[in-house]
Amino acid sequence: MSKQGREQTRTERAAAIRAEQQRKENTKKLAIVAAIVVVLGAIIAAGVWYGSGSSDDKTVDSSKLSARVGDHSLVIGSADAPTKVVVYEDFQCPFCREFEMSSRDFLHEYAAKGRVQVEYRPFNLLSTLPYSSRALDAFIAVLEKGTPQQALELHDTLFDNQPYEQSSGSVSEDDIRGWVEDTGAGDDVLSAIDEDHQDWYDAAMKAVQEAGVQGTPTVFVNGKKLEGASVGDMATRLEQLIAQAK
Amino acid sequence: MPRRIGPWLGLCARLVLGGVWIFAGALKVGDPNASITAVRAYQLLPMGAAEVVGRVLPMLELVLGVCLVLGLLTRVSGLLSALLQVAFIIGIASVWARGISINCGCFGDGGVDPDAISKYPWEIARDVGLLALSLVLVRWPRTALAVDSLLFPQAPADAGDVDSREEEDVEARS
Repeated sequence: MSKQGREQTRTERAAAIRAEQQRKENTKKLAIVAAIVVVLGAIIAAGVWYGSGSSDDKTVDSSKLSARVGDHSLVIGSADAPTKVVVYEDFQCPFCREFEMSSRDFLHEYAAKGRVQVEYRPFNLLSTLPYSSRALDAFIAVLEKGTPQQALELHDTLFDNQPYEQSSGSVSEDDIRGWVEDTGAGDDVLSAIDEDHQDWYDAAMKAVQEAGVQGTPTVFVNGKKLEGASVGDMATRLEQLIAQAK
Repeated sequence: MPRRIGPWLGLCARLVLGGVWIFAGALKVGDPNASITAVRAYQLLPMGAAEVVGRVLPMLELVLGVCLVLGLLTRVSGLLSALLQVAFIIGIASVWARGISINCGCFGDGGVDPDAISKYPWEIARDVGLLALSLVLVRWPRTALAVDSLLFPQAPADAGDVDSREEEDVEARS
């Protein structure tokens, strides 16, 4: 082997050793980065889990709540409860959805304990968006021909599945019919969905105007309008008011 | 970028970006339902995805902000920061194009807001600025006063690079 050849092999060997070192260094670096990413991911997951907290473990079986049909409304909880809440809402209104998501669990819980009575008064505010009236028609049918428990179940389902305003028509009448069937309502209820509910709409709207409701969601607590900087703020205050009332 | 001042400019970028992320995350992290409403208001993502993003985004923003302030995984953090800014720019541009008037929900709030459309250009400009800062950190991740400098000491790697380049030169000459 020539001198030049030997030198070349030596250089190659040295380069191979350095490459090996570099490779080990990179593997170590990658391991550190991976470990940190895993820890950070765990912190984020823990925070998200803590934030969504009790929403998964429902403490109240809503099908066992006492419920009755009110005046163009659904009423849950005892009439003897110290706090009486009235909620004016529209099934297509995004902030109503948020209020529902932020308040449902504690309202059901306090209603089961006899601490609050809640009257849900949905009406057709967003009349240009199909979901508002399609949902309301089904809700009216269950109120009039089904049981109050079925109406409560449908009420919650309608908010859980609220579409975006721009695709309000994407939830078909048949979709909603399916949800009504899921509550266990019979054929008389299903056929009542297609009946004309104009009188109900007008009466509900008249009550809205008499109450001085300007938008949705509007909430009254013992006759006094619930104020709040945000929907979350409203829900927090409502929970405090119910908890404090004796 | 000059050797001396570069790392300090990088530190400034980290602190500005990190501060904005921490502020944005902290305002939203306490009210996941409001955050979901804000994401849903864009009417862009499938329902389930909007809910997940609404729940995860505030915590992600907080942790990302802390990483940037500390200088932890600066290049990865800068990249994630850049990707999020691109997503926000697309989001705002999309509601603007569709004529949907919403509060961007960038720092809490969110949802329908009838006077919001006039703010969109400024919001996009702000996000483009933050995107630029993020990209600076992706390009030059070595910054002053960073935890990264302790975790991944720079000297040996650099020396190695220089050596191998000299080696190539030697080989070329012989």
